[in-house]
Amino acid sequence: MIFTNFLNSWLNKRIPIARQVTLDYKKIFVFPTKYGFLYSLMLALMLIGSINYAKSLGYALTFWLASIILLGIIHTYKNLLGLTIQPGKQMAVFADQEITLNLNIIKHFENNRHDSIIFKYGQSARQLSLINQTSQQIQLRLPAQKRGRFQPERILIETYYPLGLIRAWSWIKLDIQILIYPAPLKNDVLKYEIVQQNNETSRGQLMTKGGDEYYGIRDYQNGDNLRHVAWKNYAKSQKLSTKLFVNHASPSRDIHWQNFHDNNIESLLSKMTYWVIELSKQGKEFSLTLPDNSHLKQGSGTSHETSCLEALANY
Amino acid sequence: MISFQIRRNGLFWIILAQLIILLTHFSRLPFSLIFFCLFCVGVRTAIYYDKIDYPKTLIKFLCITLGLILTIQEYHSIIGVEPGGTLLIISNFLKLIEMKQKRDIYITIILGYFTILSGFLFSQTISTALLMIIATVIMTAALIGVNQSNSRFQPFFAIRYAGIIVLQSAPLMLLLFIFFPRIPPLWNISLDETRAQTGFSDSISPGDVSNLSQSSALAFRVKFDSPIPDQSKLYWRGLVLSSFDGRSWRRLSYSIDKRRGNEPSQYWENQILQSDSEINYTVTLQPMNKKWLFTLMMPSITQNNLIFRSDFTTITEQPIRKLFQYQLTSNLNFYSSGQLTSQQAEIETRLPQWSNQKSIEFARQLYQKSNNTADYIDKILNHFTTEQFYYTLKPPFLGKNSVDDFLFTSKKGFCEHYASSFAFLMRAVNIPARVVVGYQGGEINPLGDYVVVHQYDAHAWNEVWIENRGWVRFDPTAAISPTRIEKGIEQAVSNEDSFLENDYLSLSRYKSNNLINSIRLYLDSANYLWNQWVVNYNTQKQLDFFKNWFKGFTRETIILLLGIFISCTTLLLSYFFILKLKPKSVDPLTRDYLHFCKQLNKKGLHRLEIDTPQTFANKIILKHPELTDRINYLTYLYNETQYGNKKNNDDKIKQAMKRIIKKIHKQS
Repeated sequence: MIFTNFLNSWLNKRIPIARQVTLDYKKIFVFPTKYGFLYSLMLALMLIGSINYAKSLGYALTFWLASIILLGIIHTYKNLLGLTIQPGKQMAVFADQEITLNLNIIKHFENNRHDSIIFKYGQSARQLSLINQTSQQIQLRLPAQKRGRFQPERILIETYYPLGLIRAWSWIKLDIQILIYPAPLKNDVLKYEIVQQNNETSRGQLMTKGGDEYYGIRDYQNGDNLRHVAWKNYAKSQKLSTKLFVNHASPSRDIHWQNFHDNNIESLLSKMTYWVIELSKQGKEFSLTLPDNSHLKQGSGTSHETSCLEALANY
Repeated sequence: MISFQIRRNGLFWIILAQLIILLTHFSRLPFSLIFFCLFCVGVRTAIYYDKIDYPKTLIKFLCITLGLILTIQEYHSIIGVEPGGTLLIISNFLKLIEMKQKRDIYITIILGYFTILSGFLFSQTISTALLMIIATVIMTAALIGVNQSNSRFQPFFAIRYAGIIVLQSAPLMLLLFIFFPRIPPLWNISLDETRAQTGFSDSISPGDVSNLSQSSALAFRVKFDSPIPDQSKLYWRGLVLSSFDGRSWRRLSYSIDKRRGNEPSQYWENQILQSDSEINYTVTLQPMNKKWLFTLMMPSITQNNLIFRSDFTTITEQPIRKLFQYQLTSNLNFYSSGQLTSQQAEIETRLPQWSNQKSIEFARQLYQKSNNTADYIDKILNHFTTEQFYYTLKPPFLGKNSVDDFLFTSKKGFCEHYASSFAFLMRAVNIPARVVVGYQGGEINPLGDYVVVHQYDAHAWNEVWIENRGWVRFDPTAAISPTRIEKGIEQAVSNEDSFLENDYLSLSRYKSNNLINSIRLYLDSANYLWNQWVVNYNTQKQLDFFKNWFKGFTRETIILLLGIFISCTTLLLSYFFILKLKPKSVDPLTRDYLHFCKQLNKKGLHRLEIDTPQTFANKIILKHPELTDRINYLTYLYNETQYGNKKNNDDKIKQAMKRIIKKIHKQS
């Protein structure tokens, strides 16, 4: 535990968080793999054999193979050297969805071949080869996260190429903020409430301009316009009812937190999210009032939807 | 975890490398084992193409048993260098069959490297080395192939990259090879490299030397410090044979009066050496599994690990089983003021009773007619030339009384026939005489300025004790065939076309062809240098190398130089590592756009730092109103992709940019 902490603080100093990272000598670590150790053991045995049998060519082969693994260090290192990793455009996601991390990888040395480079984040891994192109985009799939702003941990970049005897790697931390919207939770709270709200706040507008679609009836309340009384219904049931209409053209609505009567903030936000998506899908205008009573003005369209979702995510 | 699939990228190279390694061991392995290995390759290929499944445990066990049985059948053991090396190859090919996971590949490759190394136990020639380098490159290509990305099959990239890595590591290898201290063996291992080597045994019968002369194998190479002496003076003494049984000449089983390299000896002090005819030379002897060395008369000084014998031959303590180098000083002019002891005189005149009676009779008659020993010798040599004696590589078979048969019946013989009968005729009249075998002459390689002595230079001659002169060399062959001594065996037997009759592959056989001959000389010269500087690079050579290069340097200067060298290399390397990189900050789209702006800049459309894409677009439109639609479309796409929600328009944007550039280009 202490060691991990120490390692982390050391790493944070050595490879600090950055908008983009170019892999250079400070950021690349090199160490033999288990096959590299096996190979070294082989070299030791070969040297003993050459000494004992006094074979000059045995010495030569041993030294040649030793030089090859030493050269292998440089070649493996070179395979990572000069790669610039920068975040691509990050798409916001909902809380129950897996995250796609877009990374642009650009090479610094145009003539370098970068082959078999593995990008790892948790269980997710992607292999990259930058052979003839100068840049490429890769996508790492990260597991779903909680609502809010998500900053990915360190990404492991490693390679065993070309010999498999040496591993070169780096742990980089990119300054990426991914917005996680609340997961939409289906509910019909607003199906009814929205209309009632409209009736109460802008009844006249509804009567004169709107009322293009019959929605349903409810009991007559004092103050309801008599013109909207369902007289046919009254004839049948001897009871006064008021006809309700919905205006699909451009009535304005507010997705207000109080309407959801939910004490759990997460599920409340999820329910609100559902309606933000739903109303946007229907192309309706709406406004949003969050539990801290901050208010997003009425609007419609994708950009309005995005800002509403952002507000929900950031709450 | 996806199950690991061995890619053909790696597999192809592994199999190829195995086959090349097999090729280097080809001459050593029995056919059954070669078929066994090829069978393994076949099985592996079938597995790759899904024709058969990976073998089950029982089948694997059977394969291992079969490999063991084949090895034991060939070598009657599984312990030792030969069977050990063979088992290594077998295990390598068996591993090929069951190679399934990444780990198995690495084990196979490492086994492969060991097998390459084991090849050097049996052969260290240039051709073996070249094949081994190729095998190493291919093995490395296999490593690269295994680690290459899945998506593409690029076998030739792997081999090229492997070649680059191997070449780049060569300088480091050379440095290590030169400077790494050579350590004596950690424990004793006897290693016999002398399989079916040709050379002298310690006795000689009629026909032995002529058999040896059929071989073009190398005997040794000599480098002289001074100019190379005349070919007719190059008598390389190997063995002195003093005991005759009527047919064969043998070495005396006991040795008299040994002395080590530089110790003085009573016996030697009687030798008067002419110091002005001293020559120094270095011999590189091919292993023949024998103790005797070949020297010019009269060897005087040498290294301490050699032993001089009283018959002026030089031997080692242990049979020579690998390439061996020794330095000697010889005096070509010498004479002895000493006397033979009566015991020695008796030994050197002893003849078997009841054999070759006719020859003894002949000798006595001839001796009576002679004035003195010298006259007698002259008369015998004359007899060889005047009578119808022939010098031939294909002498007829001789019976029990070989001297009688030769002198009076066949009259056809090779040097050992003449030497044997000459010594016999001397001893028959109590003149001490003996047979010396070794090599005569040698070929001068003008490229390296050294002498090459082949097995076909094998020769036998005589030494006769003459008062106040000591042992004097007589070569009856020179009387019959002076060409043999002056020009060498090939010229001497040129009329009967018997030179290297059955050795078709030997380049020496085709000496008369100028091209082949110069190729042969180049090859030999390369081999000589190779043996000198690579195969025989030992502690001594290493020291010599340092002495030559750092002549006049003190220990401190050498350490200082080494320090400077190491720090320079480190600095160079670290420059490469520490090299600061200017980050390439922009994403591909922005970069494309900036490139687009740069191109327009050449056309006089300048974009200021503060210009947004829209304002820049307006500037373009002002100049090129006909492009309004295109530019507006581009700006819309760009803004939407960069700042809005549209994705994956990169290609469209690129195309739009290209078209605009083209249009503007056309106008100007």
